[in-house]
Amino acid sequence: MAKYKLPVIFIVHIIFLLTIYVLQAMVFTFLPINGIVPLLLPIAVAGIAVFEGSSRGGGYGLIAGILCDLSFNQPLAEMTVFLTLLGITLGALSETIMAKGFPSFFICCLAALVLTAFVQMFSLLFFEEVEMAILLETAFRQTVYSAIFTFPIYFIVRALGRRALT
Amino acid sequence: MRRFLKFKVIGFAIAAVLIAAITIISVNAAGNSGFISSALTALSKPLKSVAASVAKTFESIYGQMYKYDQLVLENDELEKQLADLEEDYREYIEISEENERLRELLNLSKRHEDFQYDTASIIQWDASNWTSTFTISKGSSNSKIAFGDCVITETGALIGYVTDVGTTSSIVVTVLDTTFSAGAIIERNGDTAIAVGDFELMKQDLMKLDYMTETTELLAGDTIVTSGKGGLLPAGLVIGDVVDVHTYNTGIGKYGTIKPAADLENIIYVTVITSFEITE
Repeated sequence: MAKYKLPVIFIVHIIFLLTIYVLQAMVFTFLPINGIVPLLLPIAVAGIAVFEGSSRGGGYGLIAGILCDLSFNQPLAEMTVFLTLLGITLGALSETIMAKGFPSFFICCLAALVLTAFVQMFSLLFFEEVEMAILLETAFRQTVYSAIFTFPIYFIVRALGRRALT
Repeated sequence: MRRFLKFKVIGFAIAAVLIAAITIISVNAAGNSGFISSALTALSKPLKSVAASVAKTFESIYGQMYKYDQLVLENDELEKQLADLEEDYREYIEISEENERLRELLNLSKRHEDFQYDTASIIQWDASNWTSTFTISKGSSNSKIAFGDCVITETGALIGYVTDVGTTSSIVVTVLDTTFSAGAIIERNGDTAIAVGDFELMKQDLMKLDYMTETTELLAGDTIVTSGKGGLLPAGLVIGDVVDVHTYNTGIGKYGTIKPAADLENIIYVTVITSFEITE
């Protein structure tokens, strides 16, 4: 039974990430608020990392990063590397000092969203010389709009985490 | 018991004979129905009305039951016809729109006989809040699209250019993106400038006309077209109209804000210029 469980858990996680990708890349692009589209994949990676640890956080962070780069029409580098590292880091924190609950999950999601916004605006800030105030405003609105989705995603990643670790 | 029955039977017989006799006599005397007949008719009239009404109700119910099946069949047939007509109408609208697009493209071909085109549809806009790009349905395996090819609408309005070519799809950067820049000419007076994407203006669906000389004359409402210098983009493609002219905070230099001629929010099909003659 155990040998069937691992592929099933993997498939369920992949379906979850693909669903999040479809929502981010194909649904919410038509439902922006004040021109802002929410980011859901970093929240999913943060959730998996918090509830399942660093190795799974990194593995699924890699897959989510590839999907994120595809949704942004950019080469498979920036978000692929970032979300992998994010998954590993948050997973390590969860295994050592953080409790597995909604408060730590929410804080990790906020950190993931803020860091993602910083990564995205890095080139605009240092190479395109865009004003900091405008970038920060966009980053703030993106983070706040995306943070709304931590609540529904929490229940899903918590359930996935419980199934995966039993 | 025998006596009772005998008395009753004889009584009924006598009554019947008497009624019959009176009826015959009254009818024969007046030529009309006698008063007994009339009385009986009057008494029976309401009963007849009730009976007729009940009979009509049952007839109507039966009729409805019988007609219901016919109505259902007729309704199904009409619904099918309606669905066929709606499909024909949708097809008509689609063909009509394509016809309009091809007419516009034909006009463009007459104005620019050196252009070679390929058309594509937009598959997906990017989900980023920091860039303005989209993916089109043509790539290296099904078209002659190459890196740097200009993307326009069928009326010749500039949309952007190709930055990444895949096997079956390509990525296009729009005129609003911060990485976009193109040599531009103010159509009214021929003054040159550079049209660039700006992050702050991108949020308002506008772009910037920058790098103007001190003598450049720019007014709101001026049409900006591509200059063709550098050979990257063909000359004469409409970029947009100037919305406003601003001075930098330093007080030195000015720039204009341009509303792109292409309606980026509602574009579905695009035209990619795969080849053109370079004019300097």
